[in-house]
Amino acid sequence: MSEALVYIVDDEEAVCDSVVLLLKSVRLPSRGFNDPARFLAEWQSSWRGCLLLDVRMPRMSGLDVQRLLKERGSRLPVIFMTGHGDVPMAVEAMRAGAFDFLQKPFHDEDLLTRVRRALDNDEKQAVSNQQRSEIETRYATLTPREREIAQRLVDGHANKVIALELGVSERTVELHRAHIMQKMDARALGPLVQMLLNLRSPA
Amino acid sequence: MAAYRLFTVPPPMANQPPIADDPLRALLDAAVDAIMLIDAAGHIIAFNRSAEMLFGYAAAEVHGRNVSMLMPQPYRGEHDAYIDRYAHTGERRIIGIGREVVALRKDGTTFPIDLSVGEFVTGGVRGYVGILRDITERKHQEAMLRQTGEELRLIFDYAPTAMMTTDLAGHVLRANRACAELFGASVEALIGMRHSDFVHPEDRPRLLDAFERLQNGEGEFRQEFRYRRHDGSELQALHYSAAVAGEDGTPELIISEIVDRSAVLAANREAEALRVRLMHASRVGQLGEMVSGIAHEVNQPLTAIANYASACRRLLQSGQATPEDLFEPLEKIAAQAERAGQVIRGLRALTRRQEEQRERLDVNQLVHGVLPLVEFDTRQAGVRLRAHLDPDVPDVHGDAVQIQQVLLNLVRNALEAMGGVRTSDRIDIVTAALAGMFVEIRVVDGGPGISAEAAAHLFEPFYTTKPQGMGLGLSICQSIARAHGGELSYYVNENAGATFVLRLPIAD
Repeated sequence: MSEALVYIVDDEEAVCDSVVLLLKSVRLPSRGFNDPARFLAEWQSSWRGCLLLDVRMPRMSGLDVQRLLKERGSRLPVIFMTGHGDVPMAVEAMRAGAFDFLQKPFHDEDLLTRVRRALDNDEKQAVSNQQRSEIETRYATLTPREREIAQRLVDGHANKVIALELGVSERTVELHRAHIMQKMDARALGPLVQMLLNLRSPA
Repeated sequence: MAAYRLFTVPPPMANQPPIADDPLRALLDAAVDAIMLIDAAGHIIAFNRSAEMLFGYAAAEVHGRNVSMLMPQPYRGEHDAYIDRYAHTGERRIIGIGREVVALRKDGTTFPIDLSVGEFVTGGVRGYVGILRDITERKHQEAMLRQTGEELRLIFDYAPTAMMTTDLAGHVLRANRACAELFGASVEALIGMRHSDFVHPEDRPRLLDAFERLQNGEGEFRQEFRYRRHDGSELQALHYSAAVAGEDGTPELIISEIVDRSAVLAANREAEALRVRLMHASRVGQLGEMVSGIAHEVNQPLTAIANYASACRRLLQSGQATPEDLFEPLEKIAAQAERAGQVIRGLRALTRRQEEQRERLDVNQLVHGVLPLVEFDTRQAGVRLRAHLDPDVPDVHGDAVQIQQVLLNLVRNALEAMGGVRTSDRIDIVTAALAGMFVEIRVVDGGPGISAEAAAHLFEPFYTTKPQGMGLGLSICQSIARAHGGELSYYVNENAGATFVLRLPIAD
């Protein structure tokens, strides 16, 4: 996982440069791009942190950049920077899944609060993604029969019922269940159900 | 019979002129009208040459026969009774009166005649003399006249324009349907009223004066009057009157035509109001567009300044930076503030004065003032805007705001033209002196040029090729150019694209 950075995309050199300096003053590492095309060319799916994106730019608008990133599967939280009269665009951006927006010129506290919140959000998301992928790995070690029983456990079926449904003894179900708990590294039924529900929900 | 004898022609003597033979006979035969005599019973006893020609009978053929043979039915069967009635009652129906009757030729055709009958008694013999004139031609003309008159009446009555005839004192003699409709009254109600009764009291003296001049022989007049309808509502009408002269050349009556102009005037007023509203909307629209661009233009340096300043404060507070470290961001703050100031100055120059002010102007400075206002838009469109300014270009005399508005408009048009087909990514603004009399400011774009269709209407108000355009930009620019004694023109560039040329006279 790469280091979390604040990426700044604004066609205006001075805006980029000044935001970088402002972030530096609070020890937040950042990188400025005054050409959205260059930013898109360099973008990596492993990039973490957040993106400060100008709405109005020549040739390519901030909304275009947001859409392209989304298509490529980027999860970077996007904070839009809007100018006078760009509120309808900001609304559209929020609807398209932007994290937040800032109206230019902005107060430094407003910017920093939003950036920190976005970084936090990204961090949490990264952690939860990490956990999820770990659960996925563990789940992959279950045998087909174990998965069948695990899913029924999530649905709240008792051992007795599961045994009846699958035409096996209750004792066999109990045995499988112990294996499942062990493989999934679950201390109790509750955490197991939570893990499996987490897998069911979309990423 | 004495009467018979009277008209019996004796053989002419060889040594005497014919007139001496029987002067009466000669007179009869020389008459243009047909003349015949009948006795008291209705038998023809004399028939002159014109009568022979008219009826196609020789005198000998009709002699002694009942005159009714010269009439078609039913008169033929009743003629004897007419004579009897007169003989018994002495009541004259035709004698000494004359009337139009129908006559019958030998060949069976009939024709109208004007007949006058006289009675004579000579030598105890009573008889009648009839003088006949063929009135076929007259009848025909009368019919023609009647038909023409009828046609004219129909034309008058059904004409779509309100018309009336009045006597010289202005009393209505006739009025047509359109006239009745115009005033909201029936034709009958209009007859006998005075023309001036329909006219607005304030306009009456003018009308009466005009009518008087018509009476005095002035042929016609055309003026606008306010009229009043029967219900009291007003209308604005174009009035046209002409005197109709009688045979002696003096005016006999006046024919007037009244054309309602209310609808046209209302439409004109509406069009004018619409034009004013559109002009205003266009200005507001252009202003809105400009404000949005300018706001962005000011926002950028302000954002940078705020960021730099906050950064400096934080760096100082946290002890991360030495004063030397702050030098660069502080320089940048100053530069950005200067940039914002330039935009504001340009904006103020554009909106400071609403009233036109003429002064001596440096053309290059005018161009410079416009550049920051379009900088964002050009950058946004990926267009390079270059100014090629002749340092020796002479001053012009005019209103800086208006001229800059023209330039702004031309650059925006150029940008829009380059939004579609692009033949280059440059817009060049060129200033140059022209023949020591004019200064030219050229805006050269890299768009697709101008289609022949668009070229034909380019400077017309409300003509536009833009989906959201109102088509007033160039027409306003042209009127500004002309108000300065200059001209706005254009040409299509050699290598495609268009050039608009604002030509202004040099200040003296």
